[in-house]
Amino acid sequence: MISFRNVSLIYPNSLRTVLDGLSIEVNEGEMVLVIGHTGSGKSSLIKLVNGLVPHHTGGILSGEIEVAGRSTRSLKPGQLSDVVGIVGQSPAHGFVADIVEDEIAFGLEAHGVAPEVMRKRVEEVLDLLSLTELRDRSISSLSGGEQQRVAIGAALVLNPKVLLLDEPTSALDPIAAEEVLAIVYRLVHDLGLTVIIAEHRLERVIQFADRVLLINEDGSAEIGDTATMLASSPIAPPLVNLAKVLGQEKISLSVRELRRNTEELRNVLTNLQPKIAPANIGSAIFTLDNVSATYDEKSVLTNVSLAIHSGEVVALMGRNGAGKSTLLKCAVGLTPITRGEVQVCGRDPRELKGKDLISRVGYIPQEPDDLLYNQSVADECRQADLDNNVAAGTTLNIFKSLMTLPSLSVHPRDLSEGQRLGLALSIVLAAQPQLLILDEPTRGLDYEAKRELIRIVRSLARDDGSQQRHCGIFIASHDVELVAEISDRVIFLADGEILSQGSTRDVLTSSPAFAPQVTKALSPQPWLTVGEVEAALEGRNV
Amino acid sequence: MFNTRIPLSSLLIISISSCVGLVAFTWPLYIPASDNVLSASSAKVLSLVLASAAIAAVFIAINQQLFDSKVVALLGILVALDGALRLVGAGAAGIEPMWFLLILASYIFGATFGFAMGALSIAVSALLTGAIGPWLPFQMFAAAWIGIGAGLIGNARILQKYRRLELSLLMFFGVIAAEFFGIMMDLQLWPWLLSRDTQLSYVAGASVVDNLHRFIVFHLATSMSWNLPRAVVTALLILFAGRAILGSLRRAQRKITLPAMAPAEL
Amino acid sequence: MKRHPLAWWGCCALLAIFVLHSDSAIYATVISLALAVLVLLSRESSYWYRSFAFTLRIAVLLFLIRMSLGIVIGVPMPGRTLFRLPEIHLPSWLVGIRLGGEVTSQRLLTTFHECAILISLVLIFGAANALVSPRSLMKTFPRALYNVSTTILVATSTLPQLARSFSRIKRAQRLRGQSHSTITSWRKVSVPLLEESLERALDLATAMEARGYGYMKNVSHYRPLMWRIHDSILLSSALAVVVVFW
Repeated sequence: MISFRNVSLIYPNSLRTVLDGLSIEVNEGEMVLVIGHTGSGKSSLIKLVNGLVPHHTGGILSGEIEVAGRSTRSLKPGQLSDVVGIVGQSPAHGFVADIVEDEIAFGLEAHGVAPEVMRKRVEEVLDLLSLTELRDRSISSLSGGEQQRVAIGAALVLNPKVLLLDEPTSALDPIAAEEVLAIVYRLVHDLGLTVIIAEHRLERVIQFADRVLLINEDGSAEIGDTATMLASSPIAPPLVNLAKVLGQEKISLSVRELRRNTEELRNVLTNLQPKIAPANIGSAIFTLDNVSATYDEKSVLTNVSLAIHSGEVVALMGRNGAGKSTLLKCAVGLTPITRGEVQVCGRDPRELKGKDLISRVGYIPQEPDDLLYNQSVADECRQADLDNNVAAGTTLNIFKSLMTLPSLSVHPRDLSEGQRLGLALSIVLAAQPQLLILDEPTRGLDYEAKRELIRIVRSLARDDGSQQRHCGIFIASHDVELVAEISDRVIFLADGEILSQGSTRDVLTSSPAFAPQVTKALSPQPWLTVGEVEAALEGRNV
Repeated sequence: MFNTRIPLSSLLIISISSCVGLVAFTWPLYIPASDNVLSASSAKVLSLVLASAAIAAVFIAINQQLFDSKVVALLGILVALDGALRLVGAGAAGIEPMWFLLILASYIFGATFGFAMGALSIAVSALLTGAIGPWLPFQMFAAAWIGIGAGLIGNARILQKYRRLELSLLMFFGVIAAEFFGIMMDLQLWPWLLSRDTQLSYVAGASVVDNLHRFIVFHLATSMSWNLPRAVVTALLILFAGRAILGSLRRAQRKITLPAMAPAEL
Repeated sequence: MKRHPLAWWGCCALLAIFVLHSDSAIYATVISLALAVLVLLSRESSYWYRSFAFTLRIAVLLFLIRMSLGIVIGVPMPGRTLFRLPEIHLPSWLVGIRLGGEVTSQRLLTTFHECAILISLVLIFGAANALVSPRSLMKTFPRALYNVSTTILVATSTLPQLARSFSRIKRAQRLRGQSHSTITSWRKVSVPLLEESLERALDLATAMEARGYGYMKNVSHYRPLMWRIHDSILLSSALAVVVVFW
């Protein structure tokens, strides 16, 4: 169905070779997962299949690519759109119309399809993706998962044979992500679509993929069967790493497989205990006392009481719409509180403004880009120094201590997701706040950037002998693996009320839906992360 | 669009329609005298019809250049931003942030883009607020001409050497544009707001100079409280945010113009 | 009962031309009142319907401005004097007009007459806009304007999202220590907003290109609007009114 013959790709503004001599064939009905580090060319590879690269996005291409017998060299993306459909990562950005039905019909209109045929196809797609009740809704009022479904529908309506998905779940919460992937899986198996999907969060996808294509930094690529590729790939989900740590030769792609393969091995672990690092907890810096808040006559928070202390990392989990962001905003005084008291370092945050506020609370919103408004990294750091009344170069030094600096003249929007988060963190930390709040920090981060984030958070909270003060860190996240790695306590929120609070181990191991993969694989034992298992096994061997 | 060659036919249509529009705008200055009291209203109808037809003609010409998805997406979203900006100061005298974005975007993306952006921003904000009146086609023309002006400045080769003066030039243009819009609006509102029964209305059959005199007094007396703030706001916004906004627009422009994609032997 | 946009707009256009031609305040008032009542009776919840409130406000504003201008600098006319304003004679380089003076009933009536015509036009087109969604209006555009209407569609679909981005970014600036808005803080909000919009535009362009926009000249219309019998009734009754009272 798709064939790449000696394909090489470079972009004129950078010296890096994106792809080098790639030759692969994808058969009909196959689902291929493309993995690689950020910036490694996954997106370019996907866009090569429907001609967006080089016709729309630019780039210098050599080699031949054929899809369903058509060459992408001579045809523009529009002429390939009836064979190849594409779904990107920001669904909301790709919509032309505001009504679901109109959006789906847009592609058909552009192709000049007759109205009766259009009608029939739109109805079919609405049915296929369970969008019929949503057909008259305004797209901006839909949830992320629903929007992504509409995007898939808009691509499917042209009856393509190939569907390309460029990180479709990166902006979605886990439940929406599962939905979308389940639909894709059904399309592959019921409709025989060929699917190429690029993803960072491999946990959800590896069980569906037939083959995995790994793109390396130097542009070379390897393709192979899922289990074999993941065994040797530098990028792997926790489950695969766990299998390796447990000495498994055969890589398991799902929790069920791993449990089957490691029945006796797990008994070894029963006698071992995860090592718990003692936390150095200070005084309470953020307290909520019986707080209720209403917005538009709807109660968004009901009787919430909690306390965050300096030196501890607390995670806030819950479904989308449970009120996590509202709760976080209490710390900066942006929530309409009707009852109860909020205190941040002894003051009510609603009374704090400007420098008083940021010297107590550092808040990284869901879109860290909202904080950046200068033209270069150097300018941002300089501006942050001015805003926070600190010595020149402070912000830059903080940035340096967090991660390797990118070139200073780069525009902040051209940085990678991880670097942007680092820059936002530096700006916020320059004010030396005692409370640091992160709202969904791992959205869009790959495994390596996530590891960096984990390291940063740990160093901020724990006493590592550096000049940094202990921060209390409050993180709202859907990412269970992240929570398992760094948080001391977990608070569960549902419908504006606290469902449960407790140490991470207690809360995560007792919840079947929100347990990390390692816990699910090794239950009923209370293991949270691969690192713990590895350390315990090493300790035993020593 | 995007500083590339515009086909001659489009250029012709835009020029001719602009002339027609100008004629439609300025009819009170030179309309001949007539005893028929209805000639005033016929003149109004005629001018409206002419202006609308002229705008429609230009859009049909521009339509040809909108087959590129990048142009449509960029234009559509900038129009949305500009339309929203127009609604921001709604009511407050002359606080119209719309112009600074229109001027900066037209400066970067060219005269035709500026024309389309100006006219469509007015149209979209009118559709959304229901502020549709006999002024609409004229407002669209005036905003479009401002867009063309800024675009032509952007095209001038001579400016490539004087990047540092860019911002001051744009501020100057902003002040002129603000006043220009004020004059245009007054001109087309003049016969409506001051029809035959006031001392400052146009006099059918009087000389152009005479009518012009009346118009200028009318203009200075009534709308300066709109024009001055508009000019000030536009200039200040260009001064404080211009460099950053130009930077962002230029980055987008770079991403849009494709580098050459000859199949190379690597 | 779905109205065909051209029926409704055509009706309003006819009435507008009629009002202008007949130059009668009575007709103008009657028509605008009738349309305003029609709009207010059909309670809808769409955003374009709500624009009618704005239209009403503009109409009132224009009325006030027009009346005051007519009173202050109106041409002196004979008639029953209603009241007197202080007179100020302006020099000849200011056209030698006279501000104020006697305000006669005739002058007042004439001014009111002109007002009524102007406002009726505003209300007629406001009513046209309020009852027909911009999207369906654009569907009636000829094929020669398809791309332009797509651009307008993109603009109207993006506006609500822009508003949301704006408030989100404004909140974020507070998190960076911005305590009050000054003209310099405009930059801190407008630049991220513009950047996000430009990014969005590029993503949108990719999505449109990938679905085949612009490569075929013959586009079709999904759910082409049907001209129904009530549309003909609407249009012909407007025509009838115009012809009878011309």
